[in-house]
Amino acid sequence: MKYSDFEKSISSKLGGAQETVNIKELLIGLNLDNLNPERKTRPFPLWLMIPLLLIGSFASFLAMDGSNMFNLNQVSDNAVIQTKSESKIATIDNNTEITNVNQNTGTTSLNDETKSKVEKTIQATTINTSINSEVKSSENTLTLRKNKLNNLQINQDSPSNSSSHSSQNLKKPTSTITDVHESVSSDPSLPGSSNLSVNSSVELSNGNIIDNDRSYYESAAKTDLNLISRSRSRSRSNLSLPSISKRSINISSLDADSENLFSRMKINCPSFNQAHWRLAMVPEIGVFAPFKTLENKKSDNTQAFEERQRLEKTLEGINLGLYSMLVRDGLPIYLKAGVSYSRISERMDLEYNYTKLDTTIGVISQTVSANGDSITTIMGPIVSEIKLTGKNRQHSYIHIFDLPVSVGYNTYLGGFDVGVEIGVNINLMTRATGNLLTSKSGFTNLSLNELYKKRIGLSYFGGLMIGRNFGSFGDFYLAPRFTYYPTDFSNDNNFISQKYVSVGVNIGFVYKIK
Amino acid sequence: MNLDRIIEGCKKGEKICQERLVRNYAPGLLAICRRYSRDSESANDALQESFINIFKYINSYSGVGSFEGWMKRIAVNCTITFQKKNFKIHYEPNVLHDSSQHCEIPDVYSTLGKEDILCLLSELPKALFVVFNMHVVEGYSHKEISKMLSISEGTSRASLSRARGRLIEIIEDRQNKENQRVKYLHKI
Repeated sequence: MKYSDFEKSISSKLGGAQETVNIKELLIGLNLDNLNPERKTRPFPLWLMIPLLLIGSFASFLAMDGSNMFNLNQVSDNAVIQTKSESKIATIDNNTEITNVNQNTGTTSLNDETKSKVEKTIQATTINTSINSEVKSSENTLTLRKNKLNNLQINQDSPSNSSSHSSQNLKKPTSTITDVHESVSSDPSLPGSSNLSVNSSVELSNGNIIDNDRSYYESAAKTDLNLISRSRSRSRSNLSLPSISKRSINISSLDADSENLFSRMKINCPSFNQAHWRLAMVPEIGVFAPFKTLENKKSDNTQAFEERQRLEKTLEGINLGLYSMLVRDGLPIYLKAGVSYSRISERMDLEYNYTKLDTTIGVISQTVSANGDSITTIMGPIVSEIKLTGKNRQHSYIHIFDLPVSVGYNTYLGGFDVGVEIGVNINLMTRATGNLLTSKSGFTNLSLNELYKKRIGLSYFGGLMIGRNFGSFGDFYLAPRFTYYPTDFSNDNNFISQKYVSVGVNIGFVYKIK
Repeated sequence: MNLDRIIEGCKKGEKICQERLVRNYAPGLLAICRRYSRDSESANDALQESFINIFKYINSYSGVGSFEGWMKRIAVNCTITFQKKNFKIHYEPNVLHDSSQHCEIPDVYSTLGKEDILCLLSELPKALFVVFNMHVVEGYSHKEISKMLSISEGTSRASLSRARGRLIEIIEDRQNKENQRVKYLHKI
């Protein structure tokens, strides 16, 4: 074999040669050891997607539905105003009609005391002649109106307003009709007075009760007016005014009898004053930014403290909670209590830089002289310095399990439920995991060494709440929140005091159970 | 992930690409480092230094020529520089007549494995071994070698000639010893 061929074989065998490399050590040396390809391709934490999606859907709902809700509120308000005005008009009309009847019957000679009695008597008499035939149909309409009234009660946003409004309207016609009834029943001279049906009173009074429903009220008012008008025209021939004027009626006794009248009628009037306690379940999720305060408890050991203060970074925290909320009808205040879990993450990027000394003893260097003789030189111990630098990244986590109790004030503003709440977290348990820097370059495993307290006592929080009703689903809300942890998280084994305050935002859903 | 993507990622400082580059090319580069180093520890250190320089200067790689060749050159440079700290390599500028091309080598040497070849070459003086390795194995020209080793081209040629001559002597010496051993065994 020629020498050139020998060189070619050397080249081919050594040229493509590969050696087994300890990749792990090499990556550590190059500071690529903590590299996780999946993590690198995921620059955004996945768990953060969940609250962001909820916030996004909440915001989109507000953007899409806000204008519609506003219009509906406007329409509703207009309807209430219109109903009130029409109610007044109807009442005035009734009085006018009655006055007209009085004038038409020629009772101008009556004195002032008996004038009102006469009016009532005339009204009752006119009703008497016609009402018996129409009572049955009125009963049917009464049933329908009652049903409608119930629906109205359910759909009213503010039952207290509607209840007071309805009760006010209830009083006036009721007293009028009962007066009529009493005057008619107590006057035996009135023809057919004993036949006055109780249902007629119910008809008239209920026609005024249900004044919140505009369409209903219009039809009711028209029916009542037509009824009076028809009764008047039919009964005018049967009136005996002189006999009425001789009759004295004790008006003051009418009120007591009116109660008996309603008790006999067995009417179940709607009640708006009964407040109930409402219970709701509130799942909640949130993120927060913790702000850490470190303090060195021992002045002689400052290296770890300085390194931590310089290089340790507090990452975003997460919070999960499940609460039960207690609300009383008509009260803007609520109570909330439940359990919550929070996690605070810390990241430590420790930079290390040290010199490695390699000592080789007895190294022999061989050179060849010009005439081909090899010259051997003993160099002796050779010390080489290798500077190594790198970064060691470690994480530590504090897991906090709390029992939060809070009280809040909630009101309705511009289509949103806006509230404030303050509360206290009663710590059930605190655990720490991961690795914490405890010396200049040494980490301590927190799972094996307890450097944090098992319980941190009380912490306090407060914040705002902006919610939106989602119909039968419940309320979604967004709650910026501030939390203050007054207690030091570190125990006696840890010479660095560690305290937190945090600012975050939570989103929750109020699911009404009862 | 192809090589272009890895290069682009390394230029942007993406650690995932750097890690992939290390995983793909570390074995080949370590072989180079091993050839120029006296022990595996210094070879590993040289390899790490090589990758640090690769990441540091990767923006200077214009895409012309083989990227692998570019990395090999950095590895060779790093290893030699690393070795220079420990060893003083003395080069003789004298030019000798190169008569190695006419020599005959026993056929048995064509079947030598990688380790045997390295063992054989390790008998060369360090300075000669470096030049021989760079020229014969890596394929560098004398001009390139002279630049990398900061010597003249003539010195590089002389060193290569001496390395060849020395290698032939070593082979002949081994062959003589083998022949003597065989004769001795025959006598017995």
